[in-house]
Amino acid sequence: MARTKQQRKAQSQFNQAISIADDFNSNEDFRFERPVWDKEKCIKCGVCYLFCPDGAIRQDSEGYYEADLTYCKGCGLCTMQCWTHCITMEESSKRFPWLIKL
Amino acid sequence: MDRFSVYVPKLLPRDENFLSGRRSCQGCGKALAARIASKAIGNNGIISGPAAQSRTPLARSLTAHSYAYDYLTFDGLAGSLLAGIDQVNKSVQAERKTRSKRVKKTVVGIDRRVFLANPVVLSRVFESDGEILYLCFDNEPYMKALIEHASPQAFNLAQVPHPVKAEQVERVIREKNVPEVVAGAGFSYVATACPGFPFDYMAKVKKGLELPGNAFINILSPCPTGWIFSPKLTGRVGQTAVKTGYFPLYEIEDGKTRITEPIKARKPVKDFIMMQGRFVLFPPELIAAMQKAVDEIYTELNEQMKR
Repeated sequence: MARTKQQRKAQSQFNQAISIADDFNSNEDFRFERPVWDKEKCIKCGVCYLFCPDGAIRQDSEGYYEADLTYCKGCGLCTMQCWTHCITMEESSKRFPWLIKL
Repeated sequence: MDRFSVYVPKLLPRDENFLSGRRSCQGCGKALAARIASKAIGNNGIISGPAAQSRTPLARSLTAHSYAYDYLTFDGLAGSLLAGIDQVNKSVQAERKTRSKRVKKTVVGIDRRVFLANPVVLSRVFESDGEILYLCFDNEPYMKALIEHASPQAFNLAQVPHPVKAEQVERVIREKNVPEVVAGAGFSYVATACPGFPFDYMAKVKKGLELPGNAFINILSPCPTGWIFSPKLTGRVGQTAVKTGYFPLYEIEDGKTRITEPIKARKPVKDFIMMQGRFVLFPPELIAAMQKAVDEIYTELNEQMKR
């Protein structure tokens, strides 16, 4: 059954909006926000590393912490547990880019 | 500045045994609990658990951890398989194939639903004098049938047609108290833990591995999807549950109870209730009833400690 052009467009839009677990190579489609570290406030204590449920936070060569964005789901648990409040969440979404604009 | 540098990495092993790349929900308390436990267990361990019961750490195909894992289709198989592992451990020890004096315990992660689904098999396992450490992940309306109905009842928004009555509140909270039941079954070490207090939790897992005999740890794992709160509050909700006395942290060793996280000024239970969306339709009389029940249980625990 051939589909009209309009139907195909609607289908593609639907697939874009509800792309549930189509890409198993990364956790990017979970994410609305991503954590950003303020390196002036950070005391390298590593509490964020301990509390991350996905184990996505790694230490770099200088001893600061950063999120591995293929695994980070953007839950924001690290911001609540940080002692110096050096972590903030920045908006970034692959799955619903139009939601941020609203 | 140098004084503070890297104090958590000093206390933790670097290697990740519970790998990242799971399809659990954002801010999953169960995944957090399993990860912290894996830090304490170390490299040698066998994880075994009933498949298809929990969505997160022990879920079917999308799991990621570096432990040996038994894929179980039936709850009933868990008992026999664990007994087998235990026998092999004992024979290896008898033939002196290992350098260490004692073979490490096997660790089992179970959902609290197992108590409902297959109590007979579990009771047989509990009676055996194997050396097994049970980690029981307890999010109250455990993830059965879309967080709708838990048959040891739980406070849940989906229960609106059959709300909890004032007389039932105390019973619902008391049913949650699994460790007291288990402590009577001849366990050498029984404890409660919460991922909001990670170092307390890790110390308990290590203690459970070292002591001879069966050990059991009941873990409160806050669930953002089921309890309806923002995923960033997972740690905070667990901490308030402990600080209000709703879920006291204690351990029972050789029949002696000890509170590991003593609370000086206990907060009202209302603080814990107001954080969650599942108590939206909870009338104020029930909050008072809940406060009364929690107070009673906490004083009982204190009396138990003095014995």
